[in-house]
Amino acid sequence: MDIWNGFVEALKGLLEQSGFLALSWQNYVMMAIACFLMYLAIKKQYEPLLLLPIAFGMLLVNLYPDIMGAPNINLVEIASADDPAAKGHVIREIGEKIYYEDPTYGGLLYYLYQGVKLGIYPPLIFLGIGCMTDFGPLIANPKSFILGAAAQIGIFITFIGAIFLGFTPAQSGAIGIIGGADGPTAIYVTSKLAPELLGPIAVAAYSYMALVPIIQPPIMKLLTTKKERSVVMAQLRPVSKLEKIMFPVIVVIICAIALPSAAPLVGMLMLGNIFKESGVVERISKTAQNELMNIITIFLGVTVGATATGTVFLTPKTLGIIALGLFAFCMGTAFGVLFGKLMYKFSGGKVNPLIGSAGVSAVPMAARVANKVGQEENPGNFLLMHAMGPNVAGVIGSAVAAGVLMSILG
Amino acid sequence: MGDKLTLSLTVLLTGFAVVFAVLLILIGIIKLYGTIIYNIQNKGQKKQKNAAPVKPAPAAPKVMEPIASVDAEPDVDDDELIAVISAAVYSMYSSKVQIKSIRKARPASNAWRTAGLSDNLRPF
Repeated sequence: MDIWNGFVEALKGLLEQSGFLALSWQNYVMMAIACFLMYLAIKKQYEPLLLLPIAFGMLLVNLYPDIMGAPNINLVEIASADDPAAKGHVIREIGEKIYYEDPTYGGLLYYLYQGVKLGIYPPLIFLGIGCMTDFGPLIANPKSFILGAAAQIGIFITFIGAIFLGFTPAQSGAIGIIGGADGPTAIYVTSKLAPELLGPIAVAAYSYMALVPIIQPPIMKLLTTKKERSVVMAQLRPVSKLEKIMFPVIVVIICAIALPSAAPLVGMLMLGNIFKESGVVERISKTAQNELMNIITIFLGVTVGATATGTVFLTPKTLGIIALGLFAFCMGTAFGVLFGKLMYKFSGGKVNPLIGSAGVSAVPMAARVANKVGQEENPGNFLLMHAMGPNVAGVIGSAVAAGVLMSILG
Repeated sequence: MGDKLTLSLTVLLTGFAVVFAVLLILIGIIKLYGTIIYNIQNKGQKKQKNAAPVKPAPAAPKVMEPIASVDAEPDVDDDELIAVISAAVYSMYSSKVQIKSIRKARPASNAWRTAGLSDNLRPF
């Protein structure tokens, strides 16, 4: 009989611990959303490198919320300090009562999440991006920086929209940065300004980056004439190795002096780039852009996804963030193209305004879109390298804009 | 309402001004050092030209060593092969190179070849 009772008790205990009773309806909705995101990542290949770990992290945390649980200390009351249960524990006396400290440890993803919370992973991703980025087109045509700056205006306009929709200033800054179209920058700024919105903002940022080929072309076509889109640009001058080596050093000096809060992102980006361009540390460069970046991408994706629990994600705020993120993307593209039109006018028709749309970052997708839209007018027109200039300038521009937001709102 | 408007406009103005200022400074500096380096390197090349006036092909200061003669491989499409090799050489050395002849190099030793292949082809 005892055995039978024990068996029933054990089953009861297991049932109480299991997800059937512990989970709320929000968790199940989130699991469905996670599965949908996994479908988008696998079947549609929308930024699968990040969307897949994000979606799986989301699934995990909604199945087993304690996986993100923070460590805790429970106080257990005891009769006297000599109690054998308290052996090896810290004893505390509060008032007349005696307790011992019984620590519980955090969940697996809680510890991995510290890299996001403390702002470690995004700069490390930037290190890898720096190793992979060729700033040659930007050095050959430094005026591209103007387009990279113009596309950041969307961030600040969206900030205003978010403030008037009822978000706090810090949250509005984090929402606006979605318009920078740069995942690591968005995560970095959000982890500093509004960590509670990390899940929705990361999902919005990466989803819109994947949707660049759908979002941008209508805006580009609306704002330009057929004549402007058909402009064939002169070939870029060759850039010497010395120029490429000096570039990261100069950029980091200027950015870090002018805006110290942008130093972690810009600094790591430029460190990666000097690894690449110097040509003397090929091993480090390979590691930073492959193994290190892949490891960090896994940690970053899974833990950012794991911040999206049902109670945080399923609120009207998330809808607001998703709408504002789209607005930020559109405004960034529009301002990039409008400044491209200005450059078209001032250069006497030598600049194709389409390259301005690449200023939103989203490397190299936005540059490819500019090239594709240009080729729809003239199949022999290759704008890719010209669009890479504003595209990589956009990465630096987003990091500078992030620095501005963090220093004003942080 | 008033506070929100003030903060919004402050952020918009500061963001706009700082992002443009930093990037405009970068444009100026990159243009400046680009010009300086270009001039220095051009001067260097002119000096080299002056130092060696008896070079057989003055229009082409950097001449590829004749590693090859196309006749060695009669069964391939010569024009296409020459175009591909010229494009590759041009992209590495710019237009100051003149290709005089193309010859198939001796195959590298097996160990190096295998190492090179495996480095370039392995997925991870």
